[in-house]
Amino acid sequence: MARLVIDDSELMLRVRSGDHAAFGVLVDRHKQRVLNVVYRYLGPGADAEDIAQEVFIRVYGARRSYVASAKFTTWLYTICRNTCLKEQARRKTRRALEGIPMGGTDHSAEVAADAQTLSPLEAVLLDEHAIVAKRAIDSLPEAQRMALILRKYEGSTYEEIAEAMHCSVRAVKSLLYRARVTLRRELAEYLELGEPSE
Amino acid sequence: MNCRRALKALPEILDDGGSDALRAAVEEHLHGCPACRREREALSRSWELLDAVRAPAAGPQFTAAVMTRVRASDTRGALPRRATAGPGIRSWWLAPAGAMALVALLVVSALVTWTHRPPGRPPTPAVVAALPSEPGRMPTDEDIIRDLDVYEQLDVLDNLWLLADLEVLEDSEVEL
Ligand SMILES: [Zn+2]
Repeated sequence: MARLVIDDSELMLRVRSGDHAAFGVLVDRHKQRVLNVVYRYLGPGADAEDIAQEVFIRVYGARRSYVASAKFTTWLYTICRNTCLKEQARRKTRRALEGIPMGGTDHSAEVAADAQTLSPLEAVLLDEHAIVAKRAIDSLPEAQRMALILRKYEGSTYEEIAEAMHCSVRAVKSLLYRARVTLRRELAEYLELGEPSE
Repeated sequence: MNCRRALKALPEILDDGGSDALRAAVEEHLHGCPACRREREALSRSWELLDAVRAPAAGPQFTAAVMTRVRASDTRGALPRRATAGPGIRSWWLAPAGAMALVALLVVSALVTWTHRPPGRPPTPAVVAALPSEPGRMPTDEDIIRDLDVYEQLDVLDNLWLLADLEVLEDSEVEL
């Protein structure tokens, strides 16, 4: 017998009207997606799962603002980005208070601090390629980083990214253009690519 | 097409293919230009290296932990909700004082809503937001919208020069 799959929008509307079980289905369905974005955006650290959970708590808190015309995952990414931004600000404040130096585009201190909090599982996952690639992603300005993550890993369309990031499709294309050029420059030495031609 | 324009167009072509005309012009240029071919290779390889960044799997208790926090927030009465026969009701009996306070809150909420709302419309968010709430409550819609506004304004500054860049890109496409 074919199983009936209820789509995300319908589930979210049920959550709006007080259905806890519907929310559990949504969390189960999207937890890995949210954890992927949080982890790639913020980098390794023991609290990626906590922050991913926080995203869902915020989704629940904002349930009354959900309208069925919005694609659920797009709305989810908006809240996910907002939560990541807050966490990033919190981390910066904490490091400033602890006296860990952190320069404009130099993320080595952040990467080093993150590396100290690696769980054994994360250490296994983070092979050399991953560390270099993650550092390159971290070197991107915030908006470029989020646009790249949604495009590269989540397979989002330009329109979906624009909606999630509250900007135009033109801006998204520009963000992705800059991200590609920056990554190529950042990774040139590691990949022995030579200097950019321009 | 010259090297400068070909190099400008490469990221866009790698991302979504670009327009037919742009792609054809770039391909033609690449055919006779080893330097730009190397550049395409460099852009492709750096993008592919990102595949190495993998996230850990969500823990087995992920959903249960979220649902526990959601139920706790409902029981605390962060936002008044319509009374449903859910798990929250059972826990009220465990905390009679809290239950009394919540019932009082709901009665006040119902009265305020009843006397102010137009017929046939649900309680407005303004009415809900005016009710007292505990410290550590759930973020409201307004919190989230306000936060996004702040970050967006920062982003606008960050993206101004990017938009200018894109215009150069689009101009080169027109001049093909
Ligand atoms: Zn060339």
